[in-house]
Amino acid sequence: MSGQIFQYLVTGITVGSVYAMVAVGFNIIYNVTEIINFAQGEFVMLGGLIMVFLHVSLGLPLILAFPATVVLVTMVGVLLDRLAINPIRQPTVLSLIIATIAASILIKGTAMFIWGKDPFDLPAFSGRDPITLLGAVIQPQYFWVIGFLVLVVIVLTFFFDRTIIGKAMSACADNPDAASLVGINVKKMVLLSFALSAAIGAVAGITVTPISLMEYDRGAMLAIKGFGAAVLGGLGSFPGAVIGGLILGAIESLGAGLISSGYKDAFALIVLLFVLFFKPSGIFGNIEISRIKRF
Amino acid sequence: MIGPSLSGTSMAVVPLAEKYKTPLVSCAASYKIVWDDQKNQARKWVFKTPQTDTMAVEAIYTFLKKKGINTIAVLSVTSGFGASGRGELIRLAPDYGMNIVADEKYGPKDTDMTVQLTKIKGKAPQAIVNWSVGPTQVVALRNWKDLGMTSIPFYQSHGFGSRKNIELAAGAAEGVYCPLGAVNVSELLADNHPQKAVTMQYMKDYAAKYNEPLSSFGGHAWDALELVATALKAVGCDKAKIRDFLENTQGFVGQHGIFNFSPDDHIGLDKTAFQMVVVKDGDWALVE
Repeated sequence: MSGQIFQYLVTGITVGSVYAMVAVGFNIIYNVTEIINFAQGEFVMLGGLIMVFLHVSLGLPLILAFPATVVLVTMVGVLLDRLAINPIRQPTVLSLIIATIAASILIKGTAMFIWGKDPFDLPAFSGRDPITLLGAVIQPQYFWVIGFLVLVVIVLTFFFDRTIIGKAMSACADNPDAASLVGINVKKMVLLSFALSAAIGAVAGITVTPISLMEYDRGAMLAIKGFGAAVLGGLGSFPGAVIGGLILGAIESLGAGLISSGYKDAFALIVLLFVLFFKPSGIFGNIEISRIKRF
Repeated sequence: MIGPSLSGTSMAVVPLAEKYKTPLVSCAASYKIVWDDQKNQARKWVFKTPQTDTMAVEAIYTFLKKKGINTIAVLSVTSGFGASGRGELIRLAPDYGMNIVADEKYGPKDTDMTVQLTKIKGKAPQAIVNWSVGPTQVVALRNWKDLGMTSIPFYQSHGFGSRKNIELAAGAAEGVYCPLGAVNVSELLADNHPQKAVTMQYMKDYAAKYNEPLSSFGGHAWDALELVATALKAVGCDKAKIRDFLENTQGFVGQHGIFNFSPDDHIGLDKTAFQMVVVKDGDWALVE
Protein backbone atom coordinates (compact mmCIF):
# COMPACT_ATOMS: atom_id res chain seq x y z
CA MET A 1 0.00 0.00 0.00
CA SER A 2 2.77 2.47 0.89
CA GLY A 3 4.40 1.56 -2.43
CA GLN A 4 1.15 2.43 -4.17
CA ILE A 5 0.87 5.80 -2.42
CA PHE A 6 4.48 6.61 -3.28
CA GLN A 7 3.69 5.71 -6.89
CA TYR A 8 0.69 8.07 -6.89
CA LEU A 9 2.84 10.85 -5.44
CA VAL A 10 5.66 10.42 -7.94
CA THR A 11 3.24 10.46 -10.89
CA GLY A 12 1.34 13.38 -9.38
CA ILE A 13 4.47 15.43 -8.90
CA THR A 14 5.61 14.77 -12.46
CA VAL A 15 2.27 15.81 -13.95
CA GLY A 16 2.22 18.69 -11.46
CA SER A 17 5.64 19.86 -12.69
CA VAL A 18 4.15 20.37 -16.15
CA TYR A 19 1.23 22.31 -14.67
CA ALA A 20 3.74 24.35 -12.67
CA MET A 21 5.74 25.28 -15.78
CA VAL A 22 2.54 26.39 -17.52
CA ALA A 23 1.57 28.35 -14.40
CA VAL A 24 4.97 30.10 -14.28
CA GLY A 25 4.42 31.12 -17.91
CA PHE A 26 1.02 32.57 -17.02
CA ASN A 27 2.57 34.53 -14.15
CA ILE A 28 5.39 36.10 -16.16
CA ILE A 29 2.93 37.64 -18.60
CA TYR A 30 0.41 38.46 -15.90
CA ASN A 31 3.00 40.27 -13.84
CA VAL A 32 4.03 42.59 -16.66
CA THR A 33 0.71 43.05 -18.48
CA GLU A 34 -2.01 42.04 -16.00
CA ILE A 35 -3.52 39.77 -18.62
CA ILE A 36 -3.99 36.02 -18.74
CA ASN A 37 -2.47 34.67 -21.92
CA PHE A 38 -4.85 31.97 -23.07
CA ALA A 39 -2.40 30.83 -25.73
CA GLN A 40 -0.06 29.53 -22.99
CA GLY A 41 -1.13 25.91 -23.56
CA GLU A 42 -0.44 26.33 -27.30
CA PHE A 43 3.25 27.06 -26.52
CA VAL A 44 3.43 23.68 -24.77
CA MET A 45 1.80 21.93 -27.73
CA LEU A 46 4.12 23.69 -30.20
CA GLY A 47 7.15 22.80 -28.09
CA GLY A 48 6.26 19.13 -28.28
CA LEU A 49 5.37 19.06 -31.98
CA ILE A 50 8.28 21.19 -33.22
CA MET A 51 10.65 19.02 -31.19
CA VAL A 52 9.16 15.91 -32.83
CA PHE A 53 9.66 17.54 -36.24
CA LEU A 54 13.29 18.53 -35.60
CA HIS A 55 14.41 15.49 -33.64
CA VAL A 56 12.41 12.65 -35.22
CA SER A 57 11.58 13.87 -38.74
CA LEU A 58 14.77 15.84 -39.49
CA GLY A 59 16.98 13.69 -37.27
CA LEU A 60 18.73 16.55 -35.44
CA PRO A 61 20.45 15.31 -32.28
CA LEU A 62 18.65 15.98 -29.02
CA ILE A 63 21.22 18.49 -27.83
CA LEU A 64 20.63 20.68 -30.92
CA ALA A 65 16.93 20.07 -31.41
CA PHE A 66 16.09 21.09 -27.83
CA PRO A 67 17.46 24.67 -27.98
CA ALA A 68 16.31 25.07 -31.59
CA THR A 69 12.77 24.19 -30.56
CA VAL A 70 12.88 26.61 -27.65
CA VAL A 71 14.10 29.37 -29.97
CA LEU A 72 11.38 28.68 -32.56
CA VAL A 73 8.60 28.67 -29.97
CA THR A 74 10.05 31.83 -28.42
CA MET A 75 9.75 33.43 -31.85
CA VAL A 76 6.08 32.42 -31.94
CA GLY A 77 5.71 34.16 -28.57
CA VAL A 78 7.41 37.27 -29.95
CA LEU A 79 5.16 37.22 -33.02
CA LEU A 80 2.13 36.82 -30.79
CA ASP A 81 3.07 40.03 -28.99
CA ARG A 82 4.02 41.94 -32.17
CA LEU A 83 0.97 40.88 -34.20
CA ALA A 84 -1.78 40.47 -31.63
CA ILE A 85 -0.94 42.37 -28.45
CA ASN A 86 1.22 45.34 -29.41
CA PRO A 87 -0.95 46.72 -32.27
CA ILE A 88 -4.06 47.05 -30.10
CA ARG A 89 -4.43 50.81 -29.85
CA GLN A 90 -6.38 51.26 -26.67
CA PRO A 91 -5.48 48.18 -24.72
CA THR A 92 -7.85 47.13 -22.02
CA VAL A 93 -7.36 43.94 -20.03
CA LEU A 94 -10.43 42.43 -21.67
CA SER A 95 -9.46 43.22 -25.28
CA LEU A 96 -5.97 41.83 -24.73
CA ILE A 97 -7.31 38.61 -23.23
CA ILE A 98 -9.68 38.21 -26.18
CA ALA A 99 -6.72 38.70 -28.52
CA THR A 100 -4.86 35.85 -26.81
CA ILE A 101 -7.91 33.58 -27.13
CA ALA A 102 -8.07 34.34 -30.86
CA ALA A 103 -4.33 33.67 -31.14
CA SER A 104 -4.69 30.32 -29.38
CA ILE A 105 -7.41 29.21 -31.83
CA LEU A 106 -5.26 30.33 -34.75
CA ILE A 107 -2.16 28.52 -33.48
CA LYS A 108 -4.14 25.36 -32.81
CA GLY A 109 -5.69 25.47 -36.29
CA THR A 110 -2.34 26.06 -37.96
CA ALA A 111 -0.82 23.15 -36.03
CA MET A 112 -3.67 20.93 -37.21
CA PHE A 113 -2.95 21.85 -40.83
CA ILE A 114 0.76 21.22 -40.44
CA TRP A 115 0.78 18.05 -38.35
CA GLY A 116 -2.73 16.64 -38.80
CA LYS A 117 -4.81 15.20 -36.00
CA ASP A 118 -2.67 12.20 -35.12
CA PRO A 119 -0.61 12.11 -31.92
CA PHE A 120 3.19 12.08 -32.22
CA ASP A 121 5.82 10.34 -30.15
CA LEU A 122 9.24 11.55 -29.05
CA PRO A 123 11.93 9.12 -27.83
CA ALA A 124 12.57 9.44 -24.10
CA PHE A 125 15.78 11.42 -23.40
CA SER A 126 17.49 8.63 -21.53
CA GLY A 127 15.76 5.45 -22.59
CA ARG A 128 12.52 3.85 -21.49
CA ASP A 129 13.82 1.38 -18.91
CA PRO A 130 11.88 2.14 -15.74
CA ILE A 131 13.60 2.43 -12.35
CA THR A 132 12.10 0.77 -9.28
CA LEU A 133 12.36 2.80 -6.10
CA LEU A 134 10.61 2.11 -2.77
CA GLY A 135 8.00 -0.05 -4.47
CA ALA A 136 7.23 2.55 -7.13
CA VAL A 137 8.12 2.32 -10.79
CA ILE A 138 9.60 5.52 -12.18
CA GLN A 139 10.14 6.33 -15.84
CA PRO A 140 13.51 8.07 -16.37
CA GLN A 141 11.64 10.82 -18.22
CA TYR A 142 9.94 11.80 -14.93
CA PHE A 143 13.32 13.01 -13.66
CA TRP A 144 13.79 15.16 -16.75
CA VAL A 145 10.41 16.83 -16.27
CA ILE A 146 11.00 17.52 -12.58
CA GLY A 147 14.62 18.50 -13.26
CA PHE A 148 13.66 21.07 -15.88
CA LEU A 149 11.08 22.58 -13.53
CA VAL A 150 13.84 23.04 -10.94
CA LEU A 151 16.14 24.51 -13.61
CA VAL A 152 13.45 26.93 -14.80
CA VAL A 153 12.83 28.09 -11.24
CA ILE A 154 16.54 28.62 -10.53
CA VAL A 155 17.14 30.53 -13.77
CA LEU A 156 14.07 32.70 -13.31
CA THR A 157 14.91 33.51 -9.70
CA PHE A 158 18.39 34.56 -10.78
CA PHE A 159 16.98 36.54 -13.71
CA PHE A 160 14.43 38.51 -11.70
CA ASP A 161 16.64 39.09 -8.64
CA ARG A 162 20.10 39.58 -10.12
CA THR A 163 19.84 41.11 -13.59
CA ILE A 164 18.91 44.64 -14.64
CA ILE A 165 16.42 43.46 -17.26
CA GLY A 166 14.79 41.12 -14.76
CA LYS A 167 14.51 43.92 -12.23
CA ALA A 168 13.09 46.21 -14.90
CA MET A 169 10.44 43.58 -15.62
CA SER A 170 9.60 43.31 -11.94
CA ALA A 171 9.29 47.10 -11.87
CA CYS A 172 6.74 46.98 -14.69
CA ALA A 173 4.85 44.42 -12.69
CA ASP A 174 4.76 46.65 -9.62
CA ASN A 175 3.83 49.89 -11.37
CA PRO A 176 4.04 50.30 -15.15
CA ASP A 177 3.56 54.08 -15.06
CA ALA A 178 6.34 54.66 -12.55
CA ALA A 179 8.52 52.19 -14.46
CA SER A 180 8.21 54.15 -17.70
CA LEU A 181 8.91 57.38 -15.79
CA VAL A 182 12.30 56.04 -14.73
CA GLY A 183 13.08 55.15 -18.36
CA ILE A 184 12.01 51.54 -18.66
CA ASN A 185 10.55 50.68 -22.06
CA VAL A 186 7.37 48.93 -20.91
CA LYS A 187 6.44 47.69 -24.41
CA LYS A 188 9.81 45.99 -24.69
CA MET A 189 9.26 44.34 -21.32
CA VAL A 190 5.88 43.07 -22.49
CA LEU A 191 7.56 41.59 -25.56
CA LEU A 192 10.18 40.00 -23.36
CA SER A 193 7.53 38.51 -21.08
CA PHE A 194 5.84 36.81 -24.03
CA ALA A 195 9.19 35.51 -25.27
CA LEU A 196 10.10 34.14 -21.83
CA SER A 197 6.82 32.41 -21.18
CA ALA A 198 6.81 30.92 -24.68
CA ALA A 199 10.28 29.51 -23.99
CA ILE A 200 9.13 27.97 -20.71
CA GLY A 201 6.03 26.54 -22.40
CA ALA A 202 8.28 24.98 -25.03
CA VAL A 203 10.45 23.35 -22.34
CA ALA A 204 7.33 21.90 -20.70
CA GLY A 205 6.11 20.55 -24.05
CA ILE A 206 9.45 19.03 -25.01
CA THR A 207 9.91 17.24 -21.70
CA VAL A 208 6.38 15.88 -21.39
CA THR A 209 5.93 14.59 -24.96
CA PRO A 210 7.92 11.37 -24.41
CA ILE A 211 5.49 10.53 -21.57
CA SER A 212 2.16 11.64 -22.95
CA LEU A 213 2.62 11.94 -26.75
CA MET A 214 1.53 15.25 -28.27
CA GLU A 215 -1.21 16.28 -30.68
CA TYR A 216 -2.53 19.59 -31.95
CA ASP A 217 -5.37 20.08 -29.46
CA ARG A 218 -3.57 19.20 -26.22
CA GLY A 219 -2.91 22.86 -25.33
CA ALA A 220 -6.28 23.93 -23.97
CA MET A 221 -6.45 21.29 -21.24
CA LEU A 222 -2.88 22.02 -20.08
CA ALA A 223 -3.67 25.74 -20.03
CA ILE A 224 -6.71 25.16 -17.82
CA LYS A 225 -4.72 23.03 -15.38
CA GLY A 226 -1.84 25.52 -15.41
CA PHE A 227 -4.23 28.40 -14.82
CA GLY A 228 -5.74 26.48 -11.90
CA ALA A 229 -2.25 26.00 -10.49
CA ALA A 230 -1.42 29.70 -10.88
CA VAL A 231 -4.64 30.75 -9.14
CA LEU A 232 -4.19 28.17 -6.40
CA GLY A 233 -0.69 29.41 -5.66
CA GLY A 234 -1.66 33.06 -6.00
CA LEU A 235 -1.67 34.76 -9.39
CA GLY A 236 1.66 36.49 -9.97
CA SER A 237 3.66 34.54 -7.40
CA PHE A 238 6.43 32.25 -8.77
CA PRO A 239 6.80 30.09 -5.65
CA GLY A 240 2.99 29.99 -5.64
CA ALA A 241 2.91 28.71 -9.24
CA VAL A 242 5.36 25.91 -8.48
CA ILE A 243 3.68 24.86 -5.23
CA GLY A 244 0.24 25.25 -6.81
CA GLY A 245 1.20 23.04 -9.75
CA LEU A 246 2.70 20.33 -7.58
CA ILE A 247 -0.26 20.34 -5.19
CA LEU A 248 -2.72 20.17 -8.08
CA GLY A 249 -0.85 17.23 -9.64
CA ALA A 250 -0.54 15.39 -6.34
CA ILE A 251 -4.22 15.86 -5.44
CA GLU A 252 -5.36 14.63 -8.84
CA SER A 253 -3.15 11.61 -8.58
CA LEU A 254 -3.92 10.71 -4.96
CA GLY A 255 -7.63 11.39 -5.45
CA ALA A 256 -7.74 9.17 -8.53
CA GLY A 257 -5.73 6.43 -6.81
CA LEU A 258 -7.33 6.40 -3.37
CA ILE A 259 -10.90 7.51 -4.05
CA SER A 260 -12.11 7.42 -7.66
CA SER A 261 -10.39 8.00 -10.98
CA GLY A 262 -13.70 9.11 -12.54
CA TYR A 263 -13.68 12.28 -10.43
CA LYS A 264 -9.98 13.04 -10.86
CA ASP A 265 -10.45 16.51 -12.34
CA ALA A 266 -13.17 17.32 -9.83
CA PHE A 267 -10.83 16.80 -6.84
CA ALA A 268 -8.40 19.38 -8.11
CA LEU A 269 -11.18 21.88 -8.76
CA ILE A 270 -12.80 21.30 -5.36
CA VAL A 271 -9.51 22.01 -3.62
CA LEU A 272 -9.03 25.08 -5.80
CA LEU A 273 -12.49 26.41 -4.88
CA PHE A 274 -11.91 25.59 -1.22
CA VAL A 275 -8.64 27.54 -1.12
CA LEU A 276 -10.14 30.51 -2.93
CA PHE A 277 -13.06 30.47 -0.53
CA PHE A 278 -10.82 30.94 2.49
CA LYS A 279 -7.98 32.84 0.86
CA PRO A 280 -9.20 34.52 -2.34
CA SER A 281 -5.71 35.65 -3.33
CA GLY A 282 -4.35 32.08 -3.39
CA ILE A 283 -1.78 30.44 -1.12
CA PHE A 284 1.08 32.88 -1.74
CA GLY A 285 -0.96 35.76 -3.09
CA ASN A 286 -1.20 39.09 -1.35
CA ILE A 287 -4.68 40.54 -1.07
CA GLU A 288 -3.30 44.11 -0.95
CA ILE A 289 -1.46 43.69 -4.24
CA SER A 290 -4.37 41.95 -5.94
CA ARG A 291 -6.59 44.95 -5.07
CA ILE A 292 -4.39 47.29 -7.10
CA LYS A 293 -4.45 45.01 -10.15
CA ARG A 294 -7.13 45.52 -12.75
CA PHE A 295 -7.77 41.80 -13.19
CA MET B 1 -25.56 10.08 -47.82
CA ILE B 2 -22.41 8.45 -46.41
CA GLY B 3 -20.91 9.30 -43.00
CA PRO B 4 -20.22 11.03 -40.62
CA SER B 5 -17.50 8.97 -38.97
CA LEU B 6 -18.17 9.88 -35.32
CA SER B 7 -21.16 8.81 -33.20
CA GLY B 8 -21.86 12.32 -31.92
CA THR B 9 -21.88 13.95 -35.34
CA SER B 10 -23.89 11.07 -36.82
CA MET B 11 -26.56 11.55 -34.17
CA ALA B 12 -26.79 15.19 -35.20
CA VAL B 13 -27.42 14.23 -38.83
CA VAL B 14 -29.88 11.40 -38.14
CA PRO B 15 -33.00 13.57 -37.56
CA LEU B 16 -32.38 15.37 -40.88
CA ALA B 17 -32.02 12.10 -42.80
CA GLU B 18 -35.32 10.93 -41.29
CA LYS B 19 -37.05 14.22 -41.96
CA TYR B 20 -36.00 14.50 -45.59
CA LYS B 21 -36.33 10.75 -46.21
CA THR B 22 -32.78 10.35 -47.48
CA PRO B 23 -30.92 7.08 -46.87
CA LEU B 24 -27.93 7.65 -44.55
CA VAL B 25 -25.11 5.14 -44.13
CA SER B 26 -23.09 6.21 -41.10
CA CYS B 27 -19.49 5.13 -40.47
CA ALA B 28 -19.67 5.49 -36.66
CA ALA B 29 -19.87 2.99 -33.82
CA SER B 30 -22.88 3.55 -31.55
CA TYR B 31 -25.96 1.35 -32.11
CA LYS B 32 -28.11 4.37 -31.21
CA ILE B 33 -27.45 5.81 -34.66
CA VAL B 34 -29.66 3.16 -36.25
CA TRP B 35 -31.88 2.20 -33.30
CA ASP B 36 -34.56 4.45 -31.83
CA ASP B 37 -34.63 3.58 -28.11
CA GLN B 38 -37.87 5.45 -27.51
CA LYS B 39 -39.86 3.74 -30.24
CA ASN B 40 -37.85 0.52 -29.80
CA GLN B 41 -37.42 0.05 -33.55
CA ALA B 42 -34.81 0.65 -36.23
CA ARG B 43 -34.72 4.15 -37.72
CA LYS B 44 -36.27 3.84 -41.16
CA TRP B 45 -33.71 5.78 -43.23
CA VAL B 46 -30.51 5.17 -41.30
CA PHE B 47 -27.94 2.36 -41.70
CA LYS B 48 -24.39 1.98 -40.49
CA THR B 49 -21.40 -0.19 -41.33
CA PRO B 50 -19.06 -0.39 -38.27
CA GLN B 51 -19.46 -3.10 -35.68
CA THR B 52 -20.99 -1.93 -32.39
CA ASP B 53 -19.43 -1.83 -28.94
CA THR B 54 -21.69 -4.72 -27.99
CA MET B 55 -20.12 -6.97 -30.65
CA ALA B 56 -16.61 -5.98 -29.57
CA VAL B 57 -17.40 -6.70 -25.92
CA GLU B 58 -18.99 -10.04 -26.86
CA ALA B 59 -15.94 -10.97 -28.92
CA ILE B 60 -13.55 -10.09 -26.06
CA TYR B 61 -15.67 -11.83 -23.39
CA THR B 62 -16.09 -14.97 -25.51
CA PHE B 63 -12.32 -15.10 -25.93
CA LEU B 64 -11.62 -14.46 -22.24
CA LYS B 65 -14.05 -17.19 -21.25
CA LYS B 66 -12.32 -19.63 -23.58
CA LYS B 67 -9.02 -18.78 -21.86
CA GLY B 68 -10.58 -19.40 -18.44
CA ILE B 69 -10.31 -15.75 -17.35
CA ASN B 70 -13.16 -14.40 -15.23
CA THR B 71 -11.63 -11.65 -13.07
CA ILE B 72 -11.06 -8.47 -15.06
CA ALA B 73 -10.28 -4.79 -14.59
CA VAL B 74 -12.00 -2.21 -16.78
CA LEU B 75 -10.15 0.92 -17.82
CA SER B 76 -11.95 3.53 -19.92
CA VAL B 77 -11.69 7.07 -21.21
CA THR B 78 -14.35 9.56 -20.14
CA SER B 79 -15.42 10.36 -23.72
CA GLY B 80 -18.51 9.12 -25.55
CA PHE B 81 -16.59 6.16 -26.97
CA GLY B 82 -15.18 5.12 -23.59
CA ALA B 83 -18.42 5.61 -21.68
CA SER B 84 -20.40 3.58 -24.20
CA GLY B 85 -17.85 0.72 -24.18
CA ARG B 86 -17.66 0.73 -20.39
CA GLY B 87 -21.46 0.55 -20.21
CA GLU B 88 -21.52 -2.53 -22.45
CA LEU B 89 -18.62 -4.18 -20.56
CA ILE B 90 -20.53 -3.82 -17.29
CA ARG B 91 -23.93 -4.75 -18.77
CA LEU B 92 -22.70 -7.96 -20.44
CA ALA B 93 -20.34 -9.09 -17.64
CA PRO B 94 -22.94 -11.27 -15.82
CA ASP B 95 -23.91 -13.06 -19.07
CA TYR B 96 -20.32 -14.23 -19.51
CA GLY B 97 -19.59 -14.79 -15.80
CA MET B 98 -17.09 -11.92 -15.69
CA ASN B 99 -16.22 -10.40 -12.34
CA ILE B 100 -15.14 -6.76 -12.70
CA VAL B 101 -12.81 -5.97 -9.79
CA ALA B 102 -11.71 -2.50 -10.88
CA ASP B 103 -13.46 0.18 -12.91
CA GLU B 104 -10.98 3.00 -13.57
CA LYS B 105 -11.31 6.06 -15.80
CA TYR B 106 -9.13 8.75 -17.30
CA GLY B 107 -9.68 11.91 -19.34
CA PRO B 108 -9.18 12.06 -23.13
CA LYS B 109 -6.31 14.56 -22.72
CA ASP B 110 -4.63 12.96 -19.70
CA THR B 111 -0.86 12.72 -19.77
CA ASP B 112 -0.33 9.65 -17.61
CA MET B 113 -2.36 6.59 -16.49
CA THR B 114 0.17 5.20 -14.01
CA VAL B 115 -2.18 5.92 -11.11
CA GLN B 116 -5.14 3.99 -12.52
CA LEU B 117 -2.91 1.05 -13.45
CA THR B 118 -1.19 1.01 -10.05
CA LYS B 119 -4.61 0.72 -8.46
CA ILE B 120 -5.54 -2.10 -10.84
CA LYS B 121 -2.26 -3.88 -10.04
CA GLY B 122 -3.26 -3.89 -6.38
CA LYS B 123 -6.55 -5.65 -7.22
CA ALA B 124 -4.69 -8.42 -9.15
CA PRO B 125 -7.15 -9.09 -11.98
CA GLN B 126 -6.49 -11.82 -14.59
CA ALA B 127 -6.85 -9.35 -17.45
CA ILE B 128 -7.27 -5.64 -18.18
CA VAL B 129 -9.80 -4.40 -20.73
CA ASN B 130 -9.16 -0.84 -21.91
CA TRP B 131 -11.68 1.19 -23.92
CA SER B 132 -10.39 4.36 -25.57
CA VAL B 133 -9.27 5.98 -28.80
CA GLY B 134 -6.49 8.46 -29.51
CA PRO B 135 -3.21 8.89 -27.63
CA THR B 136 -4.51 7.72 -24.24
CA GLN B 137 -4.76 4.09 -25.33
CA VAL B 138 -1.06 4.21 -26.27
CA VAL B 139 0.01 5.98 -23.07
CA ALA B 140 -1.96 3.44 -21.00
CA LEU B 141 -0.06 0.64 -22.75
CA ARG B 142 3.33 2.22 -22.10
CA ASN B 143 2.48 2.74 -18.43
CA TRP B 144 1.30 -0.89 -18.24
CA LYS B 145 4.67 -2.06 -19.53
CA ASP B 146 6.70 0.35 -17.38
CA LEU B 147 4.87 -0.82 -14.27
CA GLY B 148 5.93 -4.39 -15.08
CA MET B 149 2.36 -5.55 -15.48
CA THR B 150 2.88 -7.57 -18.66
CA SER B 151 1.91 -10.75 -16.77
CA ILE B 152 -1.66 -9.36 -16.71
CA PRO B 153 -2.82 -9.54 -20.35
CA PHE B 154 -4.03 -6.27 -21.81
CA TYR B 155 -7.12 -6.19 -24.08
CA GLN B 156 -7.85 -3.14 -26.20
CA SER B 157 -11.12 -2.25 -27.85
CA HIS B 158 -11.55 -2.22 -31.65
CA GLY B 159 -10.51 1.46 -31.39
CA PHE B 160 -6.91 0.19 -31.35
CA GLY B 161 -7.27 -0.86 -35.01
CA SER B 162 -4.40 1.06 -36.57
CA ARG B 163 -0.79 0.00 -37.05
CA LYS B 164 0.19 3.55 -36.14
CA ASN B 165 -0.81 2.75 -32.56
CA ILE B 166 1.62 -0.17 -32.49
CA GLU B 167 4.39 2.13 -33.72
CA LEU B 168 3.51 4.85 -31.18
CA ALA B 169 3.54 2.36 -28.31
CA ALA B 170 7.29 1.91 -28.94
CA GLY B 171 7.40 -1.80 -28.16
CA ALA B 172 4.80 -1.71 -25.38
CA ALA B 173 2.05 -3.12 -27.62
CA GLU B 174 3.70 -6.56 -27.82
CA GLY B 175 1.27 -9.26 -26.67
CA VAL B 176 -1.75 -6.96 -26.57
CA TYR B 177 -5.09 -8.40 -27.74
CA CYS B 178 -7.86 -6.61 -29.56
CA PRO B 179 -10.89 -7.49 -31.69
CA LEU B 180 -10.51 -6.33 -35.29
CA GLY B 181 -12.40 -6.56 -38.54
CA ALA B 182 -10.97 -8.74 -41.33
CA VAL B 183 -9.70 -5.65 -43.18
CA ASN B 184 -6.82 -5.20 -40.71
CA VAL B 185 -5.52 -8.71 -41.10
CA SER B 186 -6.21 -9.51 -44.75
CA GLU B 187 -2.80 -11.12 -45.33
CA LEU B 188 -3.30 -13.45 -42.37
CA LEU B 189 -6.72 -14.77 -43.37
CA ALA B 190 -6.95 -18.31 -44.72
CA ASP B 191 -7.28 -18.44 -48.51
CA ASN B 192 -10.78 -19.85 -48.26
CA HIS B 193 -11.96 -17.05 -45.93
CA PRO B 194 -14.93 -15.35 -47.63
CA GLN B 195 -13.46 -11.87 -47.13
CA LYS B 196 -9.94 -12.75 -48.31
CA ALA B 197 -10.36 -11.42 -51.85
CA VAL B 198 -12.05 -8.07 -51.07
CA THR B 199 -9.72 -7.22 -48.19
CA MET B 200 -6.57 -8.09 -50.13
CA GLN B 201 -7.70 -5.93 -53.05
CA TYR B 202 -8.47 -3.00 -50.74
CA MET B 203 -5.10 -3.34 -49.01
CA LYS B 204 -3.28 -3.21 -52.36
CA ASP B 205 -5.31 -0.25 -53.64
CA TYR B 206 -4.90 1.69 -50.40
CA ALA B 207 -1.15 1.13 -50.19
CA ALA B 208 -0.72 2.12 -53.86
CA LYS B 209 -2.62 5.37 -53.38
CA TYR B 210 -1.61 6.60 -49.90
CA ASN B 211 1.61 4.74 -49.20
CA GLU B 212 0.76 4.21 -45.51
CA PRO B 213 -0.64 1.29 -43.51
CA LEU B 214 -4.44 1.08 -43.64
CA SER B 215 -6.67 1.26 -40.57
CA SER B 216 -10.13 -0.03 -39.62
CA PHE B 217 -11.75 3.29 -40.29
CA GLY B 218 -11.21 3.45 -44.05
CA GLY B 219 -12.76 -0.02 -44.23
CA HIS B 220 -15.99 1.28 -42.69
CA ALA B 221 -16.17 3.95 -45.37
CA TRP B 222 -15.45 1.35 -48.08
CA ASP B 223 -18.30 -0.82 -46.82
CA ALA B 224 -20.68 2.16 -46.78
CA LEU B 225 -19.64 3.35 -50.24
CA GLU B 226 -19.85 -0.09 -51.86
CA LEU B 227 -23.26 -0.78 -50.27
CA VAL B 228 -24.63 2.46 -51.66
CA ALA B 229 -22.97 1.90 -55.05
CA THR B 230 -24.50 -1.58 -55.30
CA ALA B 231 -27.91 -0.13 -54.45
CA LEU B 232 -27.55 2.64 -57.03
CA LYS B 233 -26.59 0.14 -59.73
CA ALA B 234 -29.51 -2.12 -58.87
CA VAL B 235 -32.39 0.32 -58.44
CA GLY B 236 -31.25 3.67 -59.80
CA CYS B 237 -31.62 7.02 -58.09
CA ASP B 238 -34.93 6.71 -56.27
CA LYS B 239 -34.39 7.39 -52.55
CA ALA B 240 -37.10 5.03 -51.27
CA LYS B 241 -35.95 2.22 -53.55
CA ILE B 242 -32.34 2.62 -52.40
CA ARG B 243 -33.50 2.38 -48.79
CA ASP B 244 -35.52 -0.76 -49.46
CA PHE B 245 -32.63 -2.32 -51.34
CA LEU B 246 -30.21 -1.60 -48.46
CA GLU B 247 -32.62 -3.07 -45.93
CA ASN B 248 -32.96 -6.29 -47.92
CA THR B 249 -29.25 -6.70 -48.69
CA GLN B 250 -28.07 -10.20 -47.76
CA GLY B 251 -24.59 -11.72 -47.82
CA PHE B 252 -22.79 -8.53 -48.87
CA VAL B 253 -19.08 -9.27 -48.46
CA GLY B 254 -17.43 -6.15 -47.01
CA GLN B 255 -14.13 -5.18 -45.40
CA HIS B 256 -15.42 -5.70 -41.86
CA GLY B 257 -17.71 -8.66 -42.24
CA ILE B 258 -20.56 -10.18 -44.20
CA PHE B 259 -23.57 -7.89 -44.00
CA ASN B 260 -27.11 -9.26 -43.62
CA PHE B 261 -29.59 -6.43 -43.15
CA SER B 262 -33.24 -6.79 -42.13
CA PRO B 263 -36.05 -4.40 -41.08
CA ASP B 264 -34.91 -4.77 -37.45
CA ASP B 265 -31.19 -4.85 -38.11
CA HIS B 266 -29.67 -1.85 -39.87
CA ILE B 267 -26.12 -2.81 -38.88
CA GLY B 268 -26.05 -6.17 -40.59
CA LEU B 269 -23.11 -7.64 -38.62
CA ASP B 270 -22.71 -9.83 -35.55
CA LYS B 271 -19.81 -10.70 -33.23
CA THR B 272 -18.26 -12.97 -35.86
CA ALA B 273 -17.33 -9.75 -37.71
CA PHE B 274 -14.47 -9.49 -35.21
CA GLN B 275 -11.31 -11.59 -35.25
CA MET B 276 -9.30 -11.67 -32.04
CA VAL B 277 -5.87 -10.35 -32.93
CA VAL B 278 -2.66 -10.17 -30.92
CA VAL B 279 0.30 -7.86 -31.53
CA LYS B 280 3.32 -9.98 -32.40
CA ASP B 281 6.70 -8.62 -33.56
CA GLY B 282 5.17 -5.19 -34.13
CA ASP B 283 2.34 -6.42 -36.34
CA TRP B 284 -1.07 -8.03 -36.03
CA ALA B 285 -1.30 -11.82 -35.76
CA LEU B 286 -4.42 -13.98 -35.60
CA VAL B 287 -5.07 -15.90 -32.39
CA GLU B 288 -6.83 -19.24 -32.38
